[in-house]
Amino acid sequence: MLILCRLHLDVGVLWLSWQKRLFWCSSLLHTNWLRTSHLDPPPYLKCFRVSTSTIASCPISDLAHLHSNMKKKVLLMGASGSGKTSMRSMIFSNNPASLTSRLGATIDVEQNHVRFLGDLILNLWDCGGQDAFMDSYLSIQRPTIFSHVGVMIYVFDVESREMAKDLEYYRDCLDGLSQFSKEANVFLLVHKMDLVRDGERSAVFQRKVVELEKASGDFPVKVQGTSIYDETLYKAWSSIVNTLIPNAQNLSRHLQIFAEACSATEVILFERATFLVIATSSSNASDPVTAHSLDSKRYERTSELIKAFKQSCSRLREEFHSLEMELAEFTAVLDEMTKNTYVLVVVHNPVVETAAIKMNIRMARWKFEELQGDSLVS
Amino acid sequence: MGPPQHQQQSYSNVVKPKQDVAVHRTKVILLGTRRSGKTSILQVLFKNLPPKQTFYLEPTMRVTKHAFDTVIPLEIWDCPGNITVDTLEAPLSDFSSIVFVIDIRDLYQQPVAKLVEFIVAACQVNRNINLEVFVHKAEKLQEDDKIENFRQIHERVMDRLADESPEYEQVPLNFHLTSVYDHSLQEAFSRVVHKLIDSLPYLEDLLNVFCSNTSSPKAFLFDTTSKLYVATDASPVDQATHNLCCDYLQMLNSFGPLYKSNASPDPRSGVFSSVPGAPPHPNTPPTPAESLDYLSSNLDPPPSASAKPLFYPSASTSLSPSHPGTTLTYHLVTPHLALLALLPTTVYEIRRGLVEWNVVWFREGVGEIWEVEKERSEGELA
Amino acid sequence: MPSDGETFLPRIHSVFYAIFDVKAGPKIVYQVPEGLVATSPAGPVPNLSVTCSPKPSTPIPMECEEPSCRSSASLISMGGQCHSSRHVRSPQQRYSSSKTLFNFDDISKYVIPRNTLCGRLVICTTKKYRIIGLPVSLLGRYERNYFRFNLCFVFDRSADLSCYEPIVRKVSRVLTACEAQSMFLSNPQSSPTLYAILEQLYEDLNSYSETSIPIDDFNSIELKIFPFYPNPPPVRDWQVPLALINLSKRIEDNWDLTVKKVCSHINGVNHVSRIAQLADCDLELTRRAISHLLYYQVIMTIDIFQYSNMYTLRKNVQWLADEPHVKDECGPYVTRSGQSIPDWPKMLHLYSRLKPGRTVFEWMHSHDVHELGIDVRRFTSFGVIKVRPPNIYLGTVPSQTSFR
Repeated sequence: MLILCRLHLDVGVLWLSWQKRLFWCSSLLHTNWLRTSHLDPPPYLKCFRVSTSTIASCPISDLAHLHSNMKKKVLLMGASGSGKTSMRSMIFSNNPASLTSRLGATIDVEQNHVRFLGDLILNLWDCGGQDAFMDSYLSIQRPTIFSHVGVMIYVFDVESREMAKDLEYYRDCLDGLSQFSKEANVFLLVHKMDLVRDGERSAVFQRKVVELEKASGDFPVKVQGTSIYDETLYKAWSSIVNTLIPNAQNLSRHLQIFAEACSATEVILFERATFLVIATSSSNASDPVTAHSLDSKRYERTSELIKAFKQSCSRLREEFHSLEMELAEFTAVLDEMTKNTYVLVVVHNPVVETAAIKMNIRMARWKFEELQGDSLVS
Repeated sequence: MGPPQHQQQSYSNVVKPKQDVAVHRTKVILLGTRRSGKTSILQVLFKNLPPKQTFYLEPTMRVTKHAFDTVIPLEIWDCPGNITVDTLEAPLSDFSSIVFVIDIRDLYQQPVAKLVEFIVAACQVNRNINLEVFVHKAEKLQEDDKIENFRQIHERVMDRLADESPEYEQVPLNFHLTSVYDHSLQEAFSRVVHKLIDSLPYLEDLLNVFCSNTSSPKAFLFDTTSKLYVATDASPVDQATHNLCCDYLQMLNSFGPLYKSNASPDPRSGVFSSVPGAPPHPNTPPTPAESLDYLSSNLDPPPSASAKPLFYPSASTSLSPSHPGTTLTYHLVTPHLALLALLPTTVYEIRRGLVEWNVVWFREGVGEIWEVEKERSEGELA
Repeated sequence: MPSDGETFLPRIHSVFYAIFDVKAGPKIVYQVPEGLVATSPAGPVPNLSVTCSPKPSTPIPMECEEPSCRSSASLISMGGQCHSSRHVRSPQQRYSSSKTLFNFDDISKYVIPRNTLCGRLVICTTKKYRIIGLPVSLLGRYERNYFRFNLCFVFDRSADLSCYEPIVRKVSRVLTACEAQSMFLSNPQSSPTLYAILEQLYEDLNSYSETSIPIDDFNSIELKIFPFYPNPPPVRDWQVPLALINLSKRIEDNWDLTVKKVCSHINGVNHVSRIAQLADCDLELTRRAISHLLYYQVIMTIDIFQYSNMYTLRKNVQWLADEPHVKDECGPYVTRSGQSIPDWPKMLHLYSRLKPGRTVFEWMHSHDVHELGIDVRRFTSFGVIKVRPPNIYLGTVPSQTSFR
């Protein structure tokens, strides 16, 4: 009992000491600032210089080509119940995975226009996979469905019991594409991987890859395993939208410069609404990231984590805005970069302050706005 | 001031357990019929098992003991469904709390009868034992049925108890509606833990002072791994806010290993250790010489008493960019405890230094309470 | 009610029941007669036009008590179309199942539509046919959360479907209730009975215009097709009802008491509030009784005759002039008893002198109408019934303009 009384007193002392130190404490904030800027070459100044110099050095390529591709048609196809609409609702409508079971079957084609990265508009065609609909896409609606396609995403249920039929429809769809949109990229998603037991996953996936590549013939396709319950969904979709962003390379280069300016290990740019990865600072092998050998799933895991947190914020009628962390392992800031992007700056150097990173983000903001505008609007 | 007092009593008649660990652990027992979800609860809380995976858990065949260190060290016993008072290897008086798990769809005799049987047995040996009932698997029912079943189970248990003997009508039973799929489990278990912490009022006072000095509407002291909150300030716990804090904690927990550098040794070489060559971190407490002299003269060296400055992880997230927004802050105060506070964004942005200053003092206070608790739980064995 | 109502009814060519199959998509499960709607893709794409009811539930005339506003124009247009539909239909077509009516795939979009159209009356028109149905989407414990079905009737393209709208709504309502109560439609055990229901709908509605189909212990489909009349305009207290048939002969004992009382005071002179007074009835009930009589088109309303009224002629008076039965009827009706009947040209002349800006009183004076033995009130009301010239009140402009 004696101890407890003493503690109780301490609380009172604590409170007093706060009062006493009010003034002193507010000046502490300022000294902090000075300290960081003295230590390193002032990071925000460095960044500022870089951004101005790079305007000229980054020529904008292929203006006409970009202009015509502002609106990208994305076909989302696959057998009925393979999970097309579930995916779409998670990525583009921010629904949690637990609610996807409440979705109904898609009737015919549901078209959505998703504004992605400023002026790039994804025209998403979610095509109901029932036989009657598929037959109609392949016959009467053939020209409507298959012309001007930027990307076709064909979803296969990993547990499908009618794989032969699925493949037949898939081949017919490829025919349609080669007839009307030869340029289209084709992504194959082996979905619902969570239904396969942990140990067998990679073997099952490999078997599917072989099967699908055989079915695709000469068409260059990319096969990915996905599940709405883990980060693989974000990985797959990030790689899909990456093919649609005309200046991903250019953005990546600028992120690299920005990362250097911030003494950051890695800088990642996300699309604001979907939180899909648009570009990262680590594109080549010789960057600092490989030295740190970070988790290979970090991008899609970040998308998944932030999305989940955004959902819990919205349940409280709050809106997620920014995040800064000084954890034992690293320092990171996640903040708005441009109107429709978020940037995550990860720093492993312990002397770099979050405030300095935030400042740098602010300084770089207009440059990235411009980059984005340049490449997309031209 | 109920809990500390009767807690004191239960300590007095504790039969010293034969344990390897040199600390006295407060014991909590989980009881319930087969497949009522006891192991799921433990796995989800303390082993970070995704709720979906609980489906695959094997039935528990023998009593398993889980140690859990928070402000006070706990030992949680997970029992097989068929256990009775007699087959239990320790007397009921050993336990500070009994948590009885009952499936919300079990409106029938057997689970209720078993619960009543245990309550009666427990009351006979220790009238001050904490009795908690988790009406579990709430996610299986629709909203209306959920409330109705919860009410019915409550009523039946009370009726049966009254049938046993009128004296049991006064037994303080606490009913909680829980589910592993949301944070209701964390909230309910937090409340169980609260009753076991003697120093809870002091922690709460600290939080109250922190809240009033930083104009924070709500602050929690969370156990970082289990996401249980050890204490909170006096304002009522709003479930939505609690959920948000849990989610926030979960996100931060997941972020840590994600960008962990595997190559170079950690720049901060772990929490609560010094950063060689680096200037004092803004979040570290001020050189503690002056404060600690009178604050903790008779304690073991507190964690912050080492000569080198320490690093305490912290994070903040601002919600709703429009003014006045809210900022959710996270500050680690002990290796396992973190302070989560909701702050007005304006306060956090303009007076961040002050907020952090307050956190430092809060940390000092919690650190001391922690030390005292540790001392006591170790001392009790001696 | 006119006794020849049934002959106006359009004929059902086919009844079919379609669902959304989670694997196959929209498909016809049963149709009667079989094979009329082609379910495999063949043939050219017909031109389609689709209309949809504006609201999920517009009042259904057969059950409706309150008069609600419907344009009077629809009555007239209906009459015309009903006639034509009767001419178009050829009896040989009925069982020529070797020829299909249309392709299901072409209209499946409107038979099993998206959610936005579900719960609404959807009429879809192909080159030759018109398909009416009410797609239903039920949320529940189904494989894909929803169960969608539609029971459709196929008619000629030119058929007027207004009398079938309530039928379609009711069938859909009953089936929805059955499904909600006992999974009647989605359960593979019970759904085959639907074929019998379709058969009976097809046969009974075409032959007897009514049917009674028990489905289970609680539900049955009870239908009777009523010729569709539009709801009458609201009845005003100053309007004068005028009988178009001999009402007193029609009165039956089981009629509504108010209607019976009101009928005996309808004489073309008494206005509504006076009728209420004479019949010793509540004014509101009188209005309702009159609007019911109006609904069945056995009376019409005219304005109170006053000497200060003004009348004018409309174009169709030319047609009237040559109509022999008008000529024959007019004289005896408008002349006071005991007076000699003026000849037809004289009367046409008198009609032609009715002009806007000239009151009946002035007109009477300048043409010595009274001396000719003509009852002026009857004279004008005859003209109104046959020609319906718009009455011009002093200072007001008539609003009704369409009358051909």
